[in-house]
Amino acid sequence: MTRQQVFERLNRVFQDVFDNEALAVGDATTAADVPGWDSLMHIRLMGAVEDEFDMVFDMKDVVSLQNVGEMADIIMAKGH
Amino acid sequence: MQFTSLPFAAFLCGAAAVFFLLPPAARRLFLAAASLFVYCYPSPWQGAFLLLSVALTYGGARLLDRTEGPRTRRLLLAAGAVLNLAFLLFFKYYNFAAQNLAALCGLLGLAAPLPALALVAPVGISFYTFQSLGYLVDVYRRQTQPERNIVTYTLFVAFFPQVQAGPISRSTSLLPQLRSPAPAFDGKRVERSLLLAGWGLFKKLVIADRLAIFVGNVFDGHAGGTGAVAVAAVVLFAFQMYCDFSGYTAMALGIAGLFGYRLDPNFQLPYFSGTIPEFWRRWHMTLGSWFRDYLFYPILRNRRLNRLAKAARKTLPKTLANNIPVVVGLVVVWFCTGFWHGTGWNYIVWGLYHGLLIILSTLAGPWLKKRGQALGLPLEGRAFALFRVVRTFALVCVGYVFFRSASLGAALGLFARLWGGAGPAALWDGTLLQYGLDGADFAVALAGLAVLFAVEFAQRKRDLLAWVPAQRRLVRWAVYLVGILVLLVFGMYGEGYVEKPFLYFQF
Amino acid sequence: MGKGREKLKKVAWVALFLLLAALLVGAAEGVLNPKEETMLAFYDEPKNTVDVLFVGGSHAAAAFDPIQLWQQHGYTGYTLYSWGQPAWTSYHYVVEALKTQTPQVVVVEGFGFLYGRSYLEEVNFDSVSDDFSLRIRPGANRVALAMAMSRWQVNSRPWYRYAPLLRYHGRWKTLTLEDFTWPFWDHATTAKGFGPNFTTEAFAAPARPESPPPADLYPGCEEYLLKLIELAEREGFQLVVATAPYVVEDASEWSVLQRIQDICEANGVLALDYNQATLLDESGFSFETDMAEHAHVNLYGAEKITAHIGGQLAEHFALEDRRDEPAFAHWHEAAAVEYWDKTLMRLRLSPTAAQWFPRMAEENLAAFVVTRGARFDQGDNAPLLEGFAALGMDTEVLRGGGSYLAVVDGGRLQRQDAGGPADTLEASYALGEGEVYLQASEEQVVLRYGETNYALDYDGVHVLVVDKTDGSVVKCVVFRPEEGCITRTD
Repeated sequence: MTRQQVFERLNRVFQDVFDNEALAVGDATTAADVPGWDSLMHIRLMGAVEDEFDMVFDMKDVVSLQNVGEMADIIMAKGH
Repeated sequence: MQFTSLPFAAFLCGAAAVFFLLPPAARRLFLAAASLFVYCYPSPWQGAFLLLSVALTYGGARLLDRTEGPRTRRLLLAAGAVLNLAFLLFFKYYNFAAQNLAALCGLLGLAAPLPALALVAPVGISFYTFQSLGYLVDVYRRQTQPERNIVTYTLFVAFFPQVQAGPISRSTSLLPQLRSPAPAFDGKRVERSLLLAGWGLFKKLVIADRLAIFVGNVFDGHAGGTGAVAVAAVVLFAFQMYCDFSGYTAMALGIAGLFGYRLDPNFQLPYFSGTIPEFWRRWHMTLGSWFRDYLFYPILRNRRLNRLAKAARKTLPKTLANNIPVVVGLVVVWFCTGFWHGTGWNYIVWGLYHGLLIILSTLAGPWLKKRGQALGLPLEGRAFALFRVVRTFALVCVGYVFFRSASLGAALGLFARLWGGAGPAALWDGTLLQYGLDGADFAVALAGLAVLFAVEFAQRKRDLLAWVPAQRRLVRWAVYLVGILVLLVFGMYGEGYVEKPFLYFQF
Repeated sequence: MGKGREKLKKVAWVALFLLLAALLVGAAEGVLNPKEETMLAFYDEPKNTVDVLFVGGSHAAAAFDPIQLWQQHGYTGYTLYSWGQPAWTSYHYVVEALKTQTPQVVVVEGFGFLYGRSYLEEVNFDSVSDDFSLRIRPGANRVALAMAMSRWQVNSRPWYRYAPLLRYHGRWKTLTLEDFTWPFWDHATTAKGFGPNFTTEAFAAPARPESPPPADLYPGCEEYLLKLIELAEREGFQLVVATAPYVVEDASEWSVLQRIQDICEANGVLALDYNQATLLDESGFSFETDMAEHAHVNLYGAEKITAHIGGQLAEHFALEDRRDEPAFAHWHEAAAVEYWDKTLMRLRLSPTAAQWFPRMAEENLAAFVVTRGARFDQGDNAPLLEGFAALGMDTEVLRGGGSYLAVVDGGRLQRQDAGGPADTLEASYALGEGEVYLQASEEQVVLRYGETNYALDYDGVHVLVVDKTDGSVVKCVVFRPEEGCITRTD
């Protein structure tokens, strides 16, 4: 997977979880940039990303991710 | 030792002076020693439990780091957590358990199995237990490297500005600061820190302790207020609670800042929140994030629970089934939150009340919003925003009735007293003055609240903590000198005043 | 070089800020601290005019009358007191007094040396001392006193002793204009620190053993007694230790009093223990009539003690009689005011007829007498009858129990009417702006001044006394026959 491909798929996941067709995320996107991204949605999002990329996040990743860029890094390392 | 006591002020001056005169290499050791000293000074035996928690988690973390097998690691973590929590549970909850067990046995006609003990919980045990436990879990999750230096780790747990009542620091935020060399003296930073601490002192001594008299007499007094008086007491308690706890936190942050360390904030203008979930993202933030990261997330991501939810999709509607982990998580977290705050059924009810509100908000929120939009309600306007703030504040106040009352029975009693009794006229016809606070004190309390509002309104747009020290010397000094005078004259301290410990000390 | 300068500048700014803060706190203290009239009055007394300084606690305030000393000897005296004054406070008060005065003789009242050894328990002594001892001007002396108090007193609230603002900030609620403006007016008083008690309680004279067993003073007391002796030598004044009489109940207190005596004698200090039989006899002090309660002398006791001490001062020290010095003319004015106050005070003290009537012959008093039906023919009514006769009033009607009224204005009998028991007598008398109406009839006795009828519902001689200087009522009393002419008032 290239980073570009990861982000394409991620965007679809985000749009689905947040029910917002216009949503587009980048490396620097944080929780503050997306309305509704609270702790609950975070878990849902993590679960949805795991389903999409057939991988499992470590607890430490769930807790300490700062932005979508870091998420993409982990996906590239672990995902399919 | 209470932050608002003179001996503590003397200690702080001395400690700060020595800290900055010492060579940087020795500062960490000094700070750890000073923290232990001031913690043990009032009552030395408490230090034993603090050090026990330190030793347990320090050793547990190093052991965890060296172990590879996932099962063994899980076991180690469980053992460490249970042992660490054991003291907290025993000191705080033994009597509660004994009492309830006795009541239960009484119903069944059996004798009470556990005797009641005269226990005094060590100061801050709820806080430092969580902090050290959080560190252990962080090491387990490989989020943090275990700390090899015992002095640094002791300082992490026992750091005196935060050991008594938080903020609960994380290994990722405080430990790195403690590991790096001690920051150099910075006059501007000292000025900001003193300003913050002074602001906290103002909230506690001038506003909170004043309101406490009125609130205490209405909630606990024999001539309990009714109607408008009871409502006034609940609303004023909301402000007392905020000023007391945020005042303490401001002092903690300010004192830590004096030495060059940044602690995590606990409050972000909470009463401006529009919803209850938002409120809990702004109130006692370090506890909220602790419960989120160490209890809520693990529950939500628990595989067995998620499999149960999947299986339940066969029998229950999809949305309901999908939300089983969320509901379970929220109930557990909010039960624990209530329980953590106090050993009484009223606290548990308070916690579950908020949990229920959040569950409703989570499950029904989006649906309500769609309905509202369909009806064409002005959901974006300022009027609605104001309505949401008032609504949230009112909901929080209802919760406070349980939180503040001495027992569940007393809370229900107060609810009963809210209806009938004194009408709105009681607010200005002098009835309020019969509860221990005279006109002059009320005036000062209300003036204090007005200042609080003004400052917090301004804080939404601009960081006053950075702005004030940046002003001209004349303006800054005027603010500081007036502040000192206000504290000295209007503070509730000294002869004839009963010293009130910070409310969160009992937790 | 530049960096060092930068640092110095910053330190200077911080120091300036702290200075401003200290000044502000000092000003706040000046407003919020309770204003102690006695100290303010002392500071405002003209400098270097006091020759005899009395220092002590409430015992001193009650017993030493500087104005009487002036009237009898022409010595300028002042009683500098604070409630509940232990030995260390007395010492620092002398130091404080020496800032504005140069007394030749300092008389320290002895009760302060009985701290820890008397009926007044330390905790109670301390709580009063904590309240009042530190009401002197801020400065090194006050800090030293605070340190002494923290060292020797049993109560320990040290912070508040150094920063009274911490203790009294709650007064913001009850501030008056005076709290802000007190530096701007003169607080000097005419009484020069004398604060007499007006009541009388009778006691049996305490029995002092011949030679009480030896005892020591509370360590702090001994230390400060010796420091006072040393201070006297250094500053060049004569020290006198005078202990006012009080009802000594515990036998051990005699030993302590003796010890004070011994220390003074060993150091060549004049010691006047007015609890000793010799001094009691010499001064004519009587525990039956001269005590207000068990601890303090009353007005009459003060008169005797002051008279005796004046004699002792004249005998032992070469003090100057300043009655003819024009610079001290204001003392005569003060004495006149005090004399009037005392006259009124004595009238208010409800004394016996023997003490009452002679005082009515005052130019500035008007007395109105009404009686109906009371018979003074039995029992010891001599003082009342003599008093009547001295003013020229009819005594026969008193013996017979008839009706009578009289007006004595400015010491002279203006009018009197007498009649039988069944007669009705009435009179009106213009007094200043108002009028007094008297009536003696079978049903009632009326002594109306202004709107009020001051006659009480008893049988007897009703006397209403009015202060002509301001038209106020001094007292209205009833002399009753069956009680041997003891006044009864409500």
